[in-house]
Amino acid sequence: MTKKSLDHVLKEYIDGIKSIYPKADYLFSNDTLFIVVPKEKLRDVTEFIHNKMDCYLRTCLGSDERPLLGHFALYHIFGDDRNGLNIVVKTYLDPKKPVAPTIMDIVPAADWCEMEARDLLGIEFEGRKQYRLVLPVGWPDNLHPLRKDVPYNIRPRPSAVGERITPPKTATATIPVGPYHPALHEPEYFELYVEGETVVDVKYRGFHVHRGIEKLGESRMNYQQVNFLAERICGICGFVHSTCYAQAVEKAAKIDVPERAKFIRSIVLEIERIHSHLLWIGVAAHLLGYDTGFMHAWRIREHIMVLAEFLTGSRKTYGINLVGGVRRDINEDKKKQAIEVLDKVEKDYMEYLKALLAVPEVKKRATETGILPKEDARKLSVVGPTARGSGLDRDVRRDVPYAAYNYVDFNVPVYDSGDNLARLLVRADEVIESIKIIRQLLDQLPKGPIMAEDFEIPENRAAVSLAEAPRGEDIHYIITGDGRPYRWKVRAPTYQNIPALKVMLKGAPLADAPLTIASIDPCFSCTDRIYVINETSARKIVRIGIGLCPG
Amino acid sequence: MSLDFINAGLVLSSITTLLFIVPILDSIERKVKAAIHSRIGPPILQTWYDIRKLFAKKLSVIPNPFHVVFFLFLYMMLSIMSITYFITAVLVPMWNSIMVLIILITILQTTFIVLPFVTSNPFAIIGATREVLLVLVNEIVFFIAMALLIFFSGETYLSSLPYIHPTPAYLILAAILFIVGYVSCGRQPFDIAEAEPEIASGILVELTGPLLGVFVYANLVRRALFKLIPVYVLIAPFTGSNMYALITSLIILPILWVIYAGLAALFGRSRVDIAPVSLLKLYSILFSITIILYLVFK
Amino acid sequence: MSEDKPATSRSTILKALEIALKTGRVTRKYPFAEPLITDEFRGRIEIDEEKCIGCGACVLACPPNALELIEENGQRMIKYFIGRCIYCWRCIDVCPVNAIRGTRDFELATDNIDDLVDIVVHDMVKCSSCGSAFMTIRQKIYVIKKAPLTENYIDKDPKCRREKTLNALLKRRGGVMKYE
Ligand code: SF4
Ligand code: SF4
Repeated sequence: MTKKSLDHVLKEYIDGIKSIYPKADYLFSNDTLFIVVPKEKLRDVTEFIHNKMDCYLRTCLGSDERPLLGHFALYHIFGDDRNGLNIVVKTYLDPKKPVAPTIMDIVPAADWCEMEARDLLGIEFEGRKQYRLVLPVGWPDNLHPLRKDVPYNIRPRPSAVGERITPPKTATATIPVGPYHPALHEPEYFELYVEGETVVDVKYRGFHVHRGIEKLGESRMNYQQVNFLAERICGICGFVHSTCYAQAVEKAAKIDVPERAKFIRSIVLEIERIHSHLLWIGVAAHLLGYDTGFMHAWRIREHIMVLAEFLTGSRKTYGINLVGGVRRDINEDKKKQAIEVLDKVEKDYMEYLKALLAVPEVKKRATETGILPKEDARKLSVVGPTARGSGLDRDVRRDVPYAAYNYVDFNVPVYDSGDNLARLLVRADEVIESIKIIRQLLDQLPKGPIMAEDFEIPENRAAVSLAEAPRGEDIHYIITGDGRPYRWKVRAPTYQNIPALKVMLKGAPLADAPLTIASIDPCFSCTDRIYVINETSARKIVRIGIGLCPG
Repeated sequence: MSLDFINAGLVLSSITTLLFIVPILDSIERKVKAAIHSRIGPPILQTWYDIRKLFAKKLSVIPNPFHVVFFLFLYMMLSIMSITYFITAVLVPMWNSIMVLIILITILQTTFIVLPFVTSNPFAIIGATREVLLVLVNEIVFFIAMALLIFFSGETYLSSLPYIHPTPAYLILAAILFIVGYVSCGRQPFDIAEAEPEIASGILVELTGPLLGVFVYANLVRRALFKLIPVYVLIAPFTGSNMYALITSLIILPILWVIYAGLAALFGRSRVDIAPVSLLKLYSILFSITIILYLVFK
Repeated sequence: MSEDKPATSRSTILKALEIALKTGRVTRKYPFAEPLITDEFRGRIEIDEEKCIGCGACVLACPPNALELIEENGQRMIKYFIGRCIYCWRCIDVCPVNAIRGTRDFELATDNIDDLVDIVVHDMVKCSSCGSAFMTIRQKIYVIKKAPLTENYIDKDPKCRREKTLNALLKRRGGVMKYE
């Protein structure tokens, strides 16, 4: 693959968009191209970016910018992984009655984020079936919590409305799984419609752990405090979220983060990946009834947990990220011990994998179950091991390097079969790669400070930040505000992967359903987070550039 | 007369010991698994503690209580009765006792699979439908194996088995019974009915408190029975006396239990459309071998 | 390296037994044995009431509001509620006088919620003009020690101080307006 020069690629994009809409405003900042187009042209532009330029949809989000510019705004974030680019397409919507054209028929992956914008901001989408996604059933219809004029402490009376089970005609029985099924460990709700032992259709109702924006918006969180909140979006890959958040702010404010801090972030991110994958492998073994595999995976993981605690001060929610750098250093002694632990873990892990894959049931039951064909994977813009198990070669660590990933050399495992085994093997290989990465990083750890000196965070700048979480790419979008983010959007990887479950589960045996659901390594709390920090008291009107706020 | 007294004493004492140590054997199973998991594992009386705790809980109302309670107690009575009958028939010559045992076990197994169906819980029923397939295969094989056993040895008395001559065909039959026993105990890879992470939780999902305690206990007794039968069939011809055969079987039981526990820890769980088929294949091969051997050595 | 690829390796289910034998027992009887934590572990914090000057810097830094600043009857309280603490030790980073110490305690379960609350109480200085309490006595001593010149106006609260400066300015310009 020959890499075209950045200018060349940018020109291609800008020319393409100008041919659709000659007056399009654009701005390039960091690795992100911001474009403003009117909503009539949105579909054409999407078609061009998604189909012609072969970009993925990262996510879309709405924002209430009436206090700033007197309109609603809708952002679509696309990713061009081959060239390491983000493309943000902004459209202005009417402040009284925000209506936008849907792009769901062009990009099926836009389904959820459009409905999220509708629930939270009241943006209506034309040309598609609309339904409630995020808010609970009993929530009043015209109360959109993310609007700046909705006070944080509104507590609508809970109403006792229920949702009905509506099985398709072919199903003979409906198996509700959740919201608190004893075997699955997170609050999610699947309705599996079955015929005998075969699943004929699936309905997903999530967002039970929507943790609310209002309280947070009004809380006295400042830029540095949000790091700790971001870390709590997920109980397993929290560090990815805090890194991604910190990076977003750093990018928006153009803060120079010391190299050493970047290395430490990468090291801890990889430690997190190892523990997350080992956790998953253990759970998968448990789901397959192989508890010996479960226990031994977690035994090996324990070394990593203790190492994480030794390096950061905590087994989980490491709490070492700040905007501008990290809080804990890795000295020579820690380095030495880390290498020892890694050697032991690698040895144990290789043996463990042999034992796991020797169990006939594990291989038999993972092979050819939960298949996600490549085309579907592409259309749904799935991420992480789910994408790599279906032959999509994408990994933002390599494609859009952040932290210290451009200093290391590693493979991105890709398998083509798209079944549960492929996803298992992707994760299995990634653990080995992660160990390799940490070794290289420790070896090259540069000298210097770990925290940027005095910096300021200007208002009304925007940035997209990406990080490859163990489950796939994590995206944070920031518009800076006064002392805290004006708009903070998080798109956790599972958000992108859950819609793929429908494809995987249809026609599969019921007994495989839990393994298949687990095979995307779902993190429901991440998906449901909607951690958007909004400053509700923003009454200042600031005219900024083209209204996109990049720096 | 004195022999009868000894027999009666032996039956009584074996039954009481069995009924007492079965939960301990289960704890040992958990210990063995824990060792393979590199864990400490629970104390040796843990299963007894569990049962005690379950009985201390409040009896909660379940849907369709009469049927459930009826079948549950039938299940427990049958488990205890079958094992008592088995031990008695080993010591005391009783007419056609092998046939009676087959019938008892068939009823026991039927109760076991009916139990989840009488609850109206969909998850229990999924588990039950899965179990039915497995039990069907297994029951039929058990039936055929016992029939062949009668045919090969010409005996219908359980108590006569120590006096027959063990042929290779007979030994293969015993091996089949071991597999049947292993499968009936619902251990990996055949724990498809109680596959809690796979949505189906069998009957376990529906019962709580004392009722669950009864079920857990009855299940353990049934497991003991399914281990005792093959052990007895296998070793009886080598002991030459019913009393020795019984005592040896009782001694081997814990060892076998440990081996099964170890085996279970090394396997994963199979699936309902895979397990019966692969079992059938295995059984057909073994049956062919035993019949050929029988014909050859006749 | 290719023969190391796990997917293609050949071994039997007995491999698990081999691993188990080699590993032995790794769990411990935890509540009765020492917990498995390293020296770097971050646990509960302790505020040294001798050193604390009641400046409230820790309260501003604390992400989950585990530290609160309460002013009541001329007293300022720094209230630490362990139930909310996330053990991030941000408060330790920002304390100007190193009054906070991190411990390795984490076994904090209790059936009495009062065990989870720690309060440091400070007496406050009253403003010499308007009489409102605005800073702690220790804070005043600290500021004077750090910046001796401030002694002249330190006993006025920020509002009165501003007023005084403004009035002085206006007076110098000959104005009579009062600052609101
Ligand atoms: S450790 Fe963190 S959470 Fe706890 S009091 Fe200090 S700043 Fe607050
Ligand atoms: S930062 Fe230190 S001196 Fe200030 S209130 Fe907190 S503990 Fe006291």
